[in-house]
Amino acid sequence: MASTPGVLGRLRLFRKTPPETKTNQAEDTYYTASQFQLMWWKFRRHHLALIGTFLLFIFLIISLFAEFIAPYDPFTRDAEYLFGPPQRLHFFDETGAFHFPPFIYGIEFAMDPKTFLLTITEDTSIKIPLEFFVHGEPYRMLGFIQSDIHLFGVSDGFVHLFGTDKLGRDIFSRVMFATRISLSIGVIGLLIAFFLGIIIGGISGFFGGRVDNTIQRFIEFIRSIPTLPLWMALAASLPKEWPPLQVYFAITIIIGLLAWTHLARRVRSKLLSLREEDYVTAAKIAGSSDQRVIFRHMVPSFLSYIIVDLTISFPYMILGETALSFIGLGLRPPVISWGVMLQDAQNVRAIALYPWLFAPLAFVILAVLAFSFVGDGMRDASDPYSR
Amino acid sequence: MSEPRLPLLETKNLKKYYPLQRGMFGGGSGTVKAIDGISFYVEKGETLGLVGESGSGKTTTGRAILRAVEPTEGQVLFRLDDKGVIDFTALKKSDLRRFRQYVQMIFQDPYSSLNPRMTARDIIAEPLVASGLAKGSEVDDRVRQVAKRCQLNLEHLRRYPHAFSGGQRQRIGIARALVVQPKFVVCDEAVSALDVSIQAQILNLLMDAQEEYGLTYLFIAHDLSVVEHVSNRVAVMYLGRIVELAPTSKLFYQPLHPYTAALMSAIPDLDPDRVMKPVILEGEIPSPANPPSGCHFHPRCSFAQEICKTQTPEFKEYRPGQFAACHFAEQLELQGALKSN
Amino acid sequence: MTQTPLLEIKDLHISFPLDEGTVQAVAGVNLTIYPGQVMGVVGESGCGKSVTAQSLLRIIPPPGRIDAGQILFRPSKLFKDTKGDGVVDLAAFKSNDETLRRIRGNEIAMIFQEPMNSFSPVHTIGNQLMEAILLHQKMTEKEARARGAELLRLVGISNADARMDNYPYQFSGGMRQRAMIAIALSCTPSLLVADEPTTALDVTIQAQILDLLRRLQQQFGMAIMFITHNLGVIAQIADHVAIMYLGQVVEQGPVREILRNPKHPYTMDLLRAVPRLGKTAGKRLVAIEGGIPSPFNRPTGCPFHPRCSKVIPGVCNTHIPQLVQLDETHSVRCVLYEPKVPQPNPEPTDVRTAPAVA
Repeated sequence: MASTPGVLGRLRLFRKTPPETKTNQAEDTYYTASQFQLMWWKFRRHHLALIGTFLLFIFLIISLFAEFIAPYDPFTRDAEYLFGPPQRLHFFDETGAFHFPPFIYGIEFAMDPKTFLLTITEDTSIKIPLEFFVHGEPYRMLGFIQSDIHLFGVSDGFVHLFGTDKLGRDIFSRVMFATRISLSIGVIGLLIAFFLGIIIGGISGFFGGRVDNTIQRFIEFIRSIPTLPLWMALAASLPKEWPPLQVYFAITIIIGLLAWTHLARRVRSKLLSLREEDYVTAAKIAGSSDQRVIFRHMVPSFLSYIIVDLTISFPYMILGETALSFIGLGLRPPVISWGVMLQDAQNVRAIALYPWLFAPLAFVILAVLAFSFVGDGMRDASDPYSR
Repeated sequence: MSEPRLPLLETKNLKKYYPLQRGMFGGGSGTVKAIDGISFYVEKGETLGLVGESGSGKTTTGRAILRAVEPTEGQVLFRLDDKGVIDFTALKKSDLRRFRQYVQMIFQDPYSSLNPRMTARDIIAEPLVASGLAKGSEVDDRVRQVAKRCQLNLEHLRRYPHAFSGGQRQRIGIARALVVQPKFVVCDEAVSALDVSIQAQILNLLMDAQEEYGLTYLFIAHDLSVVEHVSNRVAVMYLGRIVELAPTSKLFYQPLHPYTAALMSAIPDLDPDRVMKPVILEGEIPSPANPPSGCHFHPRCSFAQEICKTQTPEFKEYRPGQFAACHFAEQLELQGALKSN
Repeated sequence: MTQTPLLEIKDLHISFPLDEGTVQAVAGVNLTIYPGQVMGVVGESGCGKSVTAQSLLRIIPPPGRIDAGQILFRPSKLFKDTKGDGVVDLAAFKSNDETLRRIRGNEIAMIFQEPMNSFSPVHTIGNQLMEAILLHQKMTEKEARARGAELLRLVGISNADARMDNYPYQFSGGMRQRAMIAIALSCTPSLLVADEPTTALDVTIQAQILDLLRRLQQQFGMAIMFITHNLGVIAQIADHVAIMYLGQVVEQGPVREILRNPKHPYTMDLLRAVPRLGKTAGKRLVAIEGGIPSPFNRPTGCPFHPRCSKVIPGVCNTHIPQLVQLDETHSVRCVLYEPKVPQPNPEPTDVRTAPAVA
């Protein structure tokens, strides 16, 4: 049968037509709540978005304090423990006694007589307790905090929570540092896309006509080129002799340059629809100048949409970087990103024998999901006045 | 008879054409004549009703007068007591803003016409602040004064629009229009979205405010009984042109144009014993992009003759104050609306 | 009246549990429709008129639910659930019940305010019309097509055979509403529910559609439940009127009786608040004070009392008025007409029921 817009529409309308009783404190708070308060109230009800926010917060902490959280420098080698599997943290020993802090067992090497492969097993006779706030390798965090205290570690030997790679480097530590690089690429790329999108989309939507037409056709042209080959072509054109840092910036710009089209379209369409809004016409009739119409009436109402869009496009940035680095065209060692780390996991052998090399993938997935959840929640909340 | 009043506003041959784009390279041609040569005047203190069905161009007319859409051609003249006659259409953008205070608008949709991100106080104050008419505490004083006049609870002024019901929002919209003490207000379907019981409150408010501030209204609506209730004179539009303009009772009960007669016959009356006998019009309203030749109404008119297809009828005065655009206005004897008992 | 009713709604309660609280959309509606009767249901937003109509077909949008009450319908054909007296209780079915599905469209049909939403834009009008016919009737496609064209002619669409192959966007608003009516009529229902069918239309088109509905009603002899907020439309089409306010029918009776001799203060005030041709021009209208209360905050006692001009303090805000039968057909729900007026309640008035300020 037919849809029945009337009732639900009207019910929603009811929510906004609250009772006209004597002013009561709680109601007054709702009635005088500003846009951001309403948005926050709506966002709060979105559980996945809250989980996402929590995850993002953890990612932020990791990116800021990677040196402190990682037990080792990303380039420190544990020459004894190549391709070492993750060491499990144990809270109970064989007798069932509880230990805190947890401990790890020692390592035992054995050669498989048939395949001649080195197998590594736990040596339950040795217990190495995990310690917190241990002194380890000195570092300089955020460029100015000099310290040698790490969140956790062991006093003797190494602890490898995610195992080690082919050179015996601690994967956990490397993932922490990679998180910083990968996320920062996303952030910077997004900022570039944001400015390009707002400016180009703004010009397109505000002036309209032929300018708009030209810009839109240009955007369509860019979007019609498959992303990955384009990225590859651009990335491959970077001179090999560039230092890693320069490559890092170049890759960020490439990724940002290609993401603005989507944003520019959103800004444009939002501007076009806002121009037709009654309250914008009302502002014009009230005698507002163009600037006032734009900044007081139009910008606040599309800013929330743009922020949502940014959040939702964040995963594409991360995935873009990961993909480029994975195929060897993006960042290069010694810069560590999730994609760079995943280069080690490119063959079937790695999947079969050293599955812990995929630890960065878990982070990629978590980051993408977290951003998507938060973006979803923000999208629902971004228009608290939607009817 | 009172002395003849000077018209406060006069439109002369006002036109708004929209280009019609065909094909993706914009190479197409053609225009939609949303309004096509509108001329009328409104006297100080009166209400001119403007009626018509969807696509007739009544909303565009209101907006073109305010230059909320830029008219393609024609003039809008305002006669201000202290400043003489101003050609609103010829004003430069910067000058236009100064004269906005004399002409304001009340919108149909009480939801979309208020910026949800501003408090009621800021919305009402916007015309004062934007044009720099008042500053500091004077803004607050004037906002409170007009809000009180519109029967808004002054304690609610710091609330956001989402806190108000449709009727209250419309009061905010009216307060915004009246805060600058305009001379002329375009009411674009100002009560159409409201419930019957609320509609009566708002109509009363509009009529009281008119008397108190000496306002002049252009009252655009599709509800004919509401238009009869508030208007001194009424203009009927069909496909971008005015087909008839007359004092309200003349227009409603002694129409000259067959389209007016059809409209009037279709008003559902509250008396169940007066079963309406609507003049059934052939077909539907044609597209404004491709209006019929001659008199736009001829394909649906039961009185149409050869001349109607070829010649556009002249819009002229047939009875005192009663203008119509019909070749046979003098010959036809048309039935108007039924009066309620 | 000795006739057996076609539809009897008894003490219907429908609520919408929402995050912000529960909305009592329908709070004890009693309504009887006889075969061939045109029952007008009038009310302002939030009065529950549309929800009541939707409950007949059990298409209340979620999370709405029927809390209590009966919707007794007498189908023209017998179903397995039909009780001994030939009546089915529509409120007791699950919303996807087989019998209910056969009643929908076949026995009770519905038309809506915006017919565009009721059509699929990617199928021709003819296909959608034929689908409705074939769903409930056994015939070949060819027969269905002929029947569809016949129905289009019946609702006044010229050149019906060619129009069958048009898509909905090629129809104007008035024609879409006609096509919608054609679909509704395809199975000659005994009850047509019309939810604001003319509200979105221009006045000349509205007159045509009203004219059409009246003609078809006489031709088919079906009953119509006509929902609108426009009292003029009601006067033109209905035999009986039910006036609703905040989920209750406050007054019910023959259309002439209600419009000329209203009893409930709300009906009286509503009639005075409407501009009337040749009567109110230039005069002030008598407006009803205050706004419609929020459904989250139903007034206690009589729902209309905060706005009522004849309110009795201490009675109206505590006592829920009973339905009083003034004569055989005219009933009203107001304390003024109750034979034994309850004594004023000395308890102080609840602040929540204080008169609202619009």
